[in-house]
Amino acid sequence: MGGIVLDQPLPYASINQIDPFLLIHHWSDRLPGGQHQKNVGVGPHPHRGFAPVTFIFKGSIHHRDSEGNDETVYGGGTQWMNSGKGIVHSERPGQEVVSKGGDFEIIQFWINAPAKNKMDAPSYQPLSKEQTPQVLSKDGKVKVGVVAGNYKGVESSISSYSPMLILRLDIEAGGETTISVPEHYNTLLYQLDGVLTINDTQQTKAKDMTWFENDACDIKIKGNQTCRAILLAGEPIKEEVATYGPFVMNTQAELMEAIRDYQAGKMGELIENFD
Amino acid sequence: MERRRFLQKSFLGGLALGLLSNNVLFANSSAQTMVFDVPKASKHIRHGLFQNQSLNLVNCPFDWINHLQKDVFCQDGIDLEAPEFVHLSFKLENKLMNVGLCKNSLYITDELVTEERDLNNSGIINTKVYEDKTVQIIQLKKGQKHKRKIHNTQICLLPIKGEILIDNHLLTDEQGIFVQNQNKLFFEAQREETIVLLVGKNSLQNKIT
Repeated sequence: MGGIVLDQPLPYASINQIDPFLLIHHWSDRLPGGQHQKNVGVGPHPHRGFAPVTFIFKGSIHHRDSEGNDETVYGGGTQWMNSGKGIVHSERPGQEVVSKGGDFEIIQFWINAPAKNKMDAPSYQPLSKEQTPQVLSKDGKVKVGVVAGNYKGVESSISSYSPMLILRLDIEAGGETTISVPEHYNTLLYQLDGVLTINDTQQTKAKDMTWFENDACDIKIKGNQTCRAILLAGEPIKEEVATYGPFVMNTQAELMEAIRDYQAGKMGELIENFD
Repeated sequence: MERRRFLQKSFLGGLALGLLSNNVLFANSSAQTMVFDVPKASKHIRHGLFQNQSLNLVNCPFDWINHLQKDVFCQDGIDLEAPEFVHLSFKLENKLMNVGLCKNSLYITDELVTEERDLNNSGIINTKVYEDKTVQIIQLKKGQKHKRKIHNTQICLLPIKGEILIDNHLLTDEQGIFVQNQNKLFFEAQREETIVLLVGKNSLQNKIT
């Protein structure tokens, strides 16, 4: 994507979306250092009609947007943006990792917005590692970061468009836990590394995405090796989706209008200020 | 007596022919058409990097059209060779116009409204008029011709899809043509599904022959 090599578990082959999830991009790299931030990452571009959410695992992401938000989030943290009626933002590795070099790893996923929310005012919600509520499994070997929704009575501060459960999982070898998700939620698990056994039947490895049937509530996961994963579960929106480039709407005509509005400056303007 | 009349007639005839020959040469001169390259289309997958590009039409002889930008959006981001949505934007005077071709539908968006048309027929699919400017979309099958008389009309014409033969130029969807001071407009589709954007100043409502 624009010179950035990344993994795209969704969309994939014939799977265009797992309602309400539209995209997963996994970018893992080692930055060489000695660069300037303005030459790295993704420069100003618009979004409308959905929430792009970024999990930072290694390094940091510097977010700037046309609403005036200017924030860097580090490993363990999350950037949650509801693009609403439109926003222009840039997302670049933080200046420190760009200039000094180092590991950089993020996952960005897109959550569709219901039609009634697509033209809401945009909002940006950064969540640091320290601000992310954690739940420890009974065996103490699985840390669950609650980014959105309610997990075992622990609720995140993130405001999402529709009901969902978004978790970050750090699993030690031998650790196991059972995650309960409403049966009607569409649920997927994407694994960054390691080996897991799911529901005592299926082994999964790095960069596998598991899409669960809507036939039960409990998902049992056990770490065969140390493993990191994300669990995305959400109530399906069940609306028509028209999506190209950076916009997600319900009809092609609305996409045309999103392009027009962006070009007419209605989503704001971002002029990046590099120190 | 008769010899003088003969000389007089010859002189007048010669004068008329001289005037006529200048007019004929002016109307048929290829200098009244100019092929241009459409700014290279940016290809997009599902995600960011869609950006405004202020692209001036190089050597455009008209002051009422500018900032042509072409973007191609690919299906699902998986197959970059399968563009699914072709989008053109340009400025007509200061009005932003957007034309989109997606699957079997055409969309034209201006500052106020988006119109959608099915691409199942040949001929003029859509016409929008803004004072003395006209934006038209024409669909042709291979071999079909489009002819019309024009007068004092300036035209910017480009294939959004397919190819056309116009004024001995073969235009793909990466090229366009400026036309002025012609008394007719004629082009022929060279590909099965050819869709042409025609933007003109001064009346395009002339008779189609």
